[in-house]
Amino acid sequence: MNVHRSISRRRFLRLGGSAVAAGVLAACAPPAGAPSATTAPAKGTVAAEEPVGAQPTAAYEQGELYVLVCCSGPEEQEAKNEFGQRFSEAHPGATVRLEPMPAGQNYFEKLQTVIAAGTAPDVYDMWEGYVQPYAKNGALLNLEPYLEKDAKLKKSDLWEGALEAVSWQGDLYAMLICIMPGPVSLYYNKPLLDAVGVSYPTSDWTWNQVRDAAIKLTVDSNGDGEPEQYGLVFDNWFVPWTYWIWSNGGDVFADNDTRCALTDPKAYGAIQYWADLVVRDKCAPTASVQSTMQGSMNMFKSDMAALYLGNCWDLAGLNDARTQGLDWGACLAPKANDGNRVFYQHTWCWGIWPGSKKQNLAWEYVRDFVTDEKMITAFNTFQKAFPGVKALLHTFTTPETEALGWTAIVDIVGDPKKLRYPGSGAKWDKISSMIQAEWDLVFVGDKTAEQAAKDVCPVVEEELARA
Amino acid sequence: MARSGTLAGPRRRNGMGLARREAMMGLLLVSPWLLGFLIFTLGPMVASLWFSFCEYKVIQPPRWIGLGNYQRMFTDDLFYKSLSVTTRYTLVSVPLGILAALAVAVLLNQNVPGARVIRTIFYLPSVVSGVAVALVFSWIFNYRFGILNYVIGLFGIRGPDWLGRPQWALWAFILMSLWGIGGNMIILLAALQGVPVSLHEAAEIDGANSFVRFWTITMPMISPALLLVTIMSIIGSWQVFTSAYIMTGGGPAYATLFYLLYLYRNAFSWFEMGYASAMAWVLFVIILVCTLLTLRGSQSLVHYEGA
Repeated sequence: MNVHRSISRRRFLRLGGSAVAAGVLAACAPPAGAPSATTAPAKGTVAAEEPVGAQPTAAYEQGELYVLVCCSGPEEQEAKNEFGQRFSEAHPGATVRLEPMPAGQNYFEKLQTVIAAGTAPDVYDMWEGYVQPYAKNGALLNLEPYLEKDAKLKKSDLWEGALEAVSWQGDLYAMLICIMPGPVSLYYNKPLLDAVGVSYPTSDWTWNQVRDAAIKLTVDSNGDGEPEQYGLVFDNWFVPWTYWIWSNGGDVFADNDTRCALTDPKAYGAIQYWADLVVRDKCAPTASVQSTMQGSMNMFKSDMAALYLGNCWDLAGLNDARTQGLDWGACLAPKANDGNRVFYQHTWCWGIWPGSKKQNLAWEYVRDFVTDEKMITAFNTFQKAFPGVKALLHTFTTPETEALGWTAIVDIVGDPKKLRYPGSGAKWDKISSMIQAEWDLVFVGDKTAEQAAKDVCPVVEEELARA
Repeated sequence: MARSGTLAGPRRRNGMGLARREAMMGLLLVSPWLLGFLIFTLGPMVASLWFSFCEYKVIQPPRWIGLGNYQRMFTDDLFYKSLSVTTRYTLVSVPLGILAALAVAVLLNQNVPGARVIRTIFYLPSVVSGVAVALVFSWIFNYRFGILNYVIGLFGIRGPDWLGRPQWALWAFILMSLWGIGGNMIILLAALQGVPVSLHEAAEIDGANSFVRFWTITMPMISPALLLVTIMSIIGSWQVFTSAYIMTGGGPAYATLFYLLYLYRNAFSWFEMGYASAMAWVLFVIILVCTLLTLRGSQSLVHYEGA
């Protein structure tokens, strides 16, 4: 018999075409374990009532729990590893595999890609701006059924007012770990303030006081118009500018997120006030100068700025700098000139993949994580964040927090008028970048804030209207 | 019978059989490339074509919306902005880069001591990682401490805030594109070295000066290489991504929002993979049209030896 068979061009193309078509179909198919609209816990798997850290029920699934972790520093990672170890010991037959991604890497791009590839982690880090788009697209497990049936953790154990950022259509889709008001703090360089006789700021300072101090603290020794030391440095991204607009009584959106509210004088007036610090008073650096010095915090750490409007996650770096001789103090971020102060609510939370084969184990992991005193205490030693579980408030209210002037946050957590999250849900990331592009022009003096607001609002409204 | 069968067998194998065997062997040998092409190039291309007609949020299966994504481009201001930025970049950086590459190639074609070392030095930037180059250029363009403004300052001119001002940022990228002329320079240098010396000698005897010789002999002789680098440069200029992503993120005020960066943002930041796929196909068409126009426009200008 002749065993040699020729492959005709037609047959070859057909085979090739089939291979491509198979690839396309595979790519178009929903990822393995694609979620249903709402995935409820399996029957009979509800954990029994028990204290934090006690033996779990046998209802959890055995095997490895894959946890994708974002942006951890070494200390934070160590604390998470240790928690994972304890969780595994308390859950015989289950192990935790943490995959950390350092800060600065594209965490959400990685997450999105692994989800699309059908290899999603069981549990993953989430942040306020991503919860709603992920929930809307079916990439987060609805936690309400778990929370309702869990004897260990109730919704009322969490700060209700802070739950909007982790909810979608009224249901909880991510487990609140910590809340970080932004920008929480005005850090100040004591020797630089002492040198010109400026008193140390307090949590009652308004921005007019900050401006006066910043002008006094700005030093242009060679008179070239480019200060060698700036009085103040602040980042120009949506967290600081939403804080500032809200504190001044303005808003980004109106009419239930259908209209852009930046053309309100309260909103653009706030931005113009800040831009004037950079462009007219020259007591704060442009984004270019900040970039030159590797960011605003580095400017503060290297004595190039006397005041720094910063964040809670700066604390570890600043504590390091203190050991190397930087003498700094801190108070709560300044109030608007009418005495109002509204923070942006950063929200760190856990999400669970709806297609996970270990949903009960994942639930127990996120529940135990947020209620684990050791974990949350460890977290509060290298940066300060407000725990999502009310019972762990004491891990935040330490003498150090008192010294930083941050204890006042306790009074505003849960108050949506004082600690807010911007609207527009899934579209915020894109819309904020559109607004940012206009503010960039204001902060280099190429446009007034009023004009920028007028220019950007139609584009924002178009995006809001788009399905 | 057995004998004739034995004789008939090899005859068949040496006739039709050999051709088949060779075909099979050929397919076998190219199969690694073929599989790679089908799985990693053609497959994703066809998939992206399909996605371009879908609303595809990546974390959910695609949903067919027909021409919706393509229609959306007509009303998308950022799409036009990215198109405008990239077109302006192409129009300036491509001719500038080719002229610079040609100038360097001509200089390196002279008999100067250490020419090989100098060639290597000029080519080296072409093999440096794009990320490293972007980081280095962030410092070069730094308006307070950057070397560029320092040099400009020596002439009593205050250098601009290259990456911080919308009116300068694109120029910074155009200047930066000159860093990568090494690849084109090598191609043009090879072409220059292929120009017969006898032609120059004959022209010189006829009294042609060096400019006339360059214009009437060298340029026609290297015109196929010039066409090649022109097309490659046009394609490359539409694919600027790394530098913009690292140095400016598309800012300030979208002044450096290159087409590919905007495509990437849609795909990976805003869950708009369908729209990004449509943009990718539009980019494909743009590059194809640019290439065809260049080829067509160059027909009377390019001289093929022996043609």
